[in-house]
Amino acid sequence: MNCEQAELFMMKFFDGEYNELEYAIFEEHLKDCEKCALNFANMKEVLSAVETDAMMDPPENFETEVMEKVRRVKSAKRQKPAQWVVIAYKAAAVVSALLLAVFMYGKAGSNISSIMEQMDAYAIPLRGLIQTLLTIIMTLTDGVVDTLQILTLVGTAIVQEYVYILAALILMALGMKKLYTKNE
Amino acid sequence: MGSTDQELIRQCLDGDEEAFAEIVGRYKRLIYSVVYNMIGDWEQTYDISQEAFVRIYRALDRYNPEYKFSTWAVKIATNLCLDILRKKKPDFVPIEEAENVSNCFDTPETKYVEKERNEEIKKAIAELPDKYRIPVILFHQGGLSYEEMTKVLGEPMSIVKNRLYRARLMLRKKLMGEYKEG
Repeated sequence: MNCEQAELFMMKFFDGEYNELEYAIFEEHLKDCEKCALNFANMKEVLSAVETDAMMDPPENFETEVMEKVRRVKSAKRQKPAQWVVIAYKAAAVVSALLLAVFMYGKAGSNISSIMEQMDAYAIPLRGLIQTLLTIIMTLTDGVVDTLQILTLVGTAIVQEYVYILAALILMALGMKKLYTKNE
Repeated sequence: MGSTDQELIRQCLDGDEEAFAEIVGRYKRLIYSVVYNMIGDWEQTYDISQEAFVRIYRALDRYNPEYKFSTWAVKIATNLCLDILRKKKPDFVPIEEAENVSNCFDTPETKYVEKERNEEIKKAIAELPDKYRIPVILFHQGGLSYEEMTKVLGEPMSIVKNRLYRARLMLRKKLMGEYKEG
């Protein structure tokens, strides 16, 4: 092995790509060649320093701040339900709203209290919210305005991610419609 | 306390975000150093290193446990740095034959007394032009393979090798050390 080859081997050595035989030949060369021996020692020192000593410590609060940011990522993730769930709820809400609009056409001016009685029978939670919502719906006048307002409600709810509640409400309203029709 | 990286990541994905704090502890030095050596600015290094860890966290579900975590994490940090460097210098190509030899480094600050030799070495690294410094950092600090470096840097292996070899020679020359060349 000559010096040129030794230099080439050094590179392979620091790449971690060499075999035992090549290394043995290289070591033999180093025994006889002071220049290459020094070059090798130098490069070893420098590169091992790059790997270890030339590392820098971040400031004390680094971990704390990273974890704060990470927790914000996590809570952002939690608010977003799975894609398919969102789509399913939106579809259900839109379909329910359209059916409810049809219902409203037919049952304008319905009696609020009878509906409330039926609600009692089914012990629906969120009753306060339902009452408010139904009151709003019931006092609407006939016509396209009703439909539009209901759709706006749905739209707003979707935007505000209360779609779960709204979908449940509308489905319950539909359920009530069936009951109401039966009772007549 | 002997959890492997993979075990900690499994815990993170199962919802234990505090397991990630352990990962940050283990790799903050490495990521911080790699980022600093690529960016060269102390203030930015702090922000960019944090962002790197957030990205690592977000990407945990895409980590393949068959490969070393440190390498994967360094790649994410490197890509972030390269994006930032490209935005700063529109014609930036990490290891291309560029006209300008100067780099973006400011003087490294010493927060505490370190061995003089370390300071010399850090200075020598900082003085290398981007195209030589980046491959050295990625290979010898980041632990990336040639294959991985070609992907991250977007350059053919022959060029990557060439730059790395040149960089090693330049560093050796700068740092004659106790071993004087005969």
